[in-house]
Amino acid sequence: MEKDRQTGEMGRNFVRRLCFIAIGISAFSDPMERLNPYDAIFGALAGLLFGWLFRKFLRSFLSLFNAKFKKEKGKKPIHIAVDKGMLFLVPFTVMLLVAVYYLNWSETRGFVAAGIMAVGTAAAIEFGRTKGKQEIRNTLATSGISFLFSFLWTLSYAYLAKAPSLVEGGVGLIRGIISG
Amino acid sequence: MENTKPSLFRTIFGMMINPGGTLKKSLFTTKWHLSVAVSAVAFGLFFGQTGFDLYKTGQKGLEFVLLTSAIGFAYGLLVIPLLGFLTWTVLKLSKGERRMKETVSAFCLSYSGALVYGALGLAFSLALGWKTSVAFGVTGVLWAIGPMIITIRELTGGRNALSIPIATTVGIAVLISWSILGNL
Repeated sequence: MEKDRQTGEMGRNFVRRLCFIAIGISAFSDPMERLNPYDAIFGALAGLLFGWLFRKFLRSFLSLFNAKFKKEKGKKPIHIAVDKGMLFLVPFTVMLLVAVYYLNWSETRGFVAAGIMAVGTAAAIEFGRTKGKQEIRNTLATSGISFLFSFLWTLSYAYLAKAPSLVEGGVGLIRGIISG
Repeated sequence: MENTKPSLFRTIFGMMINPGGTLKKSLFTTKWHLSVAVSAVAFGLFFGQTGFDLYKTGQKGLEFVLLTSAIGFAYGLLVIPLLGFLTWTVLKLSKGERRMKETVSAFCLSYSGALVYGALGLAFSLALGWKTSVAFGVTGVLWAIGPMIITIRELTGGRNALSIPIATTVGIAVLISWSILGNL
C-alpha cells in the first residue's frame, strides 16, 4: 500500500516536471532554429522554476484557506490534491509540443495560460474530493493563483525570451577571449 | 424536493466555470440534441472565423467563409459526437456504467467554452475587424480541454488515468484537423 502510494507520488512528480520542462523548451524555442541548445537549456530551467513556484503557491494558498483541515489531517492531503491537479497539464503540454514542433507555431502563450487555469480548477476539485465537499473559496483561491501565474508567464515571457540569445552572445564572447 | 431543470444558457456558462457541478445537475436533464447543437455551433463559429480571417487578408473569397462555417458545423455535429461515441466505447470496455447518450451529450457540452469564445470572437471580428481565429477560436478549443477531462472523470467515477489520455488525443485531433482546414 505504502509502496503504491510512493510509486504514484514519484510518477506524478516525474510527469509534472516533464510537463514544465517541455513547456519551457517549447515556449523559448526559436522558430528559425528549433534545436538551439541555449534556448532549450534556458527554457527547461525557466519552465522548472515556474512550475516549482506555481506548485508552492497553490499548496500554500490551499493550506492558508484550510488551516483547520491542515491541523487535523496534516499537509500531505493538500500536497497530493495539488499534484493530482497538476496532471491536467499533460493534454496542454502535448498539444503545445504538436503546435510548436509539428505545426511550427510560435505563439504558445494560450496553451500555457489555459493549462495553468485548468490546473487551478483541478486542484480545487481534487482537494474537494479529499475533503468530502467542494467549497467555492478553494476554487477562488486556486483560480486566483492560476490567473496570477498565467499573467506572470505572459508578462515575463516578453522579457525572458531575449535571455537565451544574450547568454549565447556572452558565452561566445568568453570563448573568443579565452581562445584569443 | 425541488427538481429544477437548468436552462441551456446556465448549462453552457456552468460548463465553463464549474463543469463537475454542472454535469451532475444537467446530465440527465439536458436534451442530447441541444448538447450536439452546442458543439456544432461552437465549431461552426471557430472554423468560420478561420475562413473569415483568410477572407480579410484577401487570400480567399466569401464562399470560402461559408464553406468553412459549414465544415465546422458538420465537424461539431458529426465528428465531436463520434469522438464522444468512441470515448463511451473506451469507458464501456473499462466497465463504465454510463449510457451512450449521456456520454455523447456530456462530451459535446464540454465545448461550451468554445461556443462562448467563438461568439465573442465573431463579435470582435465583425465590430473591430480583428483576426480572431487563433485568439478566440483556438483559445476556446483549449479551454474546452479542462471541462472535457473533468467530464470524462465524472463519467468514470474520478479516474484520471482514462480522462487525461482521452482528452489529450481529442485535443490533438482537433488541433491538427483545424490546421489542415487552414491550409486548404
